[in-house]
Amino acid sequence: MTIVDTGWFRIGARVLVVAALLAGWQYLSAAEILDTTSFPSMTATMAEAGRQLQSADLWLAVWETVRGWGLGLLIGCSLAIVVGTLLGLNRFAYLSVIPVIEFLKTVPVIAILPLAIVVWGATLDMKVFLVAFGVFWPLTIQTIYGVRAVDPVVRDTAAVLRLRGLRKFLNVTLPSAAPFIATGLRVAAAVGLILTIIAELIGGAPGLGLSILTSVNAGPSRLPATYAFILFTGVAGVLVTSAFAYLEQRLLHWHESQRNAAAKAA
Amino acid sequence: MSHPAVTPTSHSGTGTEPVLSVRALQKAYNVGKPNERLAIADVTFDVAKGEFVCVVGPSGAGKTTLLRCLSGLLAPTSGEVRFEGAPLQEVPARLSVVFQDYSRSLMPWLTVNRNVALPLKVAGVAKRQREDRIAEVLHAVGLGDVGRNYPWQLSGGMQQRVAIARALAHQPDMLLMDEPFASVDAQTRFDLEDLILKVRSDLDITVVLVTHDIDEAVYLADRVVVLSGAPSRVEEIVPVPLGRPRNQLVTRSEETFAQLRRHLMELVTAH
Ligand SMILES: Nc1ncnc2c1ncn2[C@@H]1O[C@H](COP(=O)(O)OP(=O)(O)OP(=O)(O)O)[C@@H](O)[C@H]1O
Ligand SMILES: [Mg+2]
Repeated sequence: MTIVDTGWFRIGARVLVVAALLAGWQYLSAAEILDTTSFPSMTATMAEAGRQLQSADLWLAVWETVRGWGLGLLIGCSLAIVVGTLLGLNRFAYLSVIPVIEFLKTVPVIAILPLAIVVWGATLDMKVFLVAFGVFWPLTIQTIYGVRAVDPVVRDTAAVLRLRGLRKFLNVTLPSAAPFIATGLRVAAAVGLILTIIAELIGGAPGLGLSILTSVNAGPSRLPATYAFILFTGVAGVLVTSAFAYLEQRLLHWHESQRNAAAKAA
Repeated sequence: MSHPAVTPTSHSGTGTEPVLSVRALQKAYNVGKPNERLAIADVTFDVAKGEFVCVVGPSGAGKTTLLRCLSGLLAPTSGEVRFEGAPLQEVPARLSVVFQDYSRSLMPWLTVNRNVALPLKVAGVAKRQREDRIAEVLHAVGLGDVGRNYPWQLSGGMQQRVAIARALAHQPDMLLMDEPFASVDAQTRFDLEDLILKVRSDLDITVVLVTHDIDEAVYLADRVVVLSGAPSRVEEIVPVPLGRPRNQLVTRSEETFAQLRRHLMELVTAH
């Protein structure tokens, strides 16, 4: 083990990179290489971000975004896992339905955004629908493939052990499908957040996306706020992705991919 | 073993009836399609209660296919397999199978204890007795305190021991094994051969073991069923008049062992 592998060294290196980027930003705006009418300085942005962190409005917007994202994800993913499992377990159903799902999966969710706005207006429901719809199709497909991906030796073993019904589902089918579903969930969480922000930004539902939009509309003086909000959405994205990666690592610790990762880290 | 939860099916009235009887078994893959292929042409043999039968044959002879038919995993094209008097419909409760590929056969998401618990849960054994039985059967295959480990944390030989423990947990009458020791090193292989002989005499269980290793077949078996190349037929059924208990050093250096080995070699390589 060299110094490069130690935890502190890694954290230090990452902090340094971030610091260098921020310093570069500050330099570019101070030297007016960046157009000051569209790029605020790093310090102005950070000062604004600090102010925002103390304002109730920001936390309300964060709450709205998290709520729409979370509900949409919960509904879309639950449905996808149930429907995907049922379709995956039944060959006939799978063969009949898969072309439709493959088609619907390719429909860009943005294409139905106007429709959702007409039906629900700039509301939480509209956001939730958009997120649920967006994550449902890809995760359904992941689940179907996962349920169908039981190793033939495992399938024989299950038959020899006479595992049936719920016991077979919980001990064999679900764990076999879990790596597929976990990947699907991680992607769904990230896509869901993007869709939430879009629904707010374009659809006008309250949340971080709408905060970005209103700060832009408020003119150049609010520019640092715009950047601060963009920064916050970025942080939200990173938090979401790491949370799901952590969960995946905990739940799938037995899976080869996680075992290899653990062996590398050790 | 003093575990009364599951008692073997009684054959008291029909003491001479074989545990397993295979009659004119034929198996073709992809029947009716252009790539139809006859894997087993005609196989007939019986296995008596408590007997150890090895099946040998050249590579691709249809040994795995035969074992899958015997276990009820695969339906024969024609002919019949009877287990304890009844024609096979599915995998019978009183029969266990050990696969060659232990690393895939043991569920990686379950600990050793939970893997071994599976057949006990299916048999409806209560939690308390289940725990006792798991400890007992792990001990019987020579494993110490590994129950809380995951299978992939163990060596290959230990994993196959876990697979054998799981197969024995619900006290089946018969054990079917498909090249169970083909993926472990030579020393482990000897250990596992002796383990299975010990288990068999301790538990009075019937064993059918498929192998491509003629020495292994002679060392283990009471009788060896020799298959021809595909599509397979029974070339000969060779009795093994070696005494028991057997010993890797002593048995393998006996004159009879060498003769049997030579005879089987001639049969298997005659194609
Ligand atoms: N699922 C299948 N579909 C079609 N043909 C098969 C299938 N499984 C096996 N076969 C064919 O049946 C024949 C017997 O195969 P089998 O695996 O039973 O032989 P084996 O004696 O176990 O071989 P090995 O010594 O390599 O383990 C082979 O010719 C094989 O190609
Ligand atoms: Mg084989």
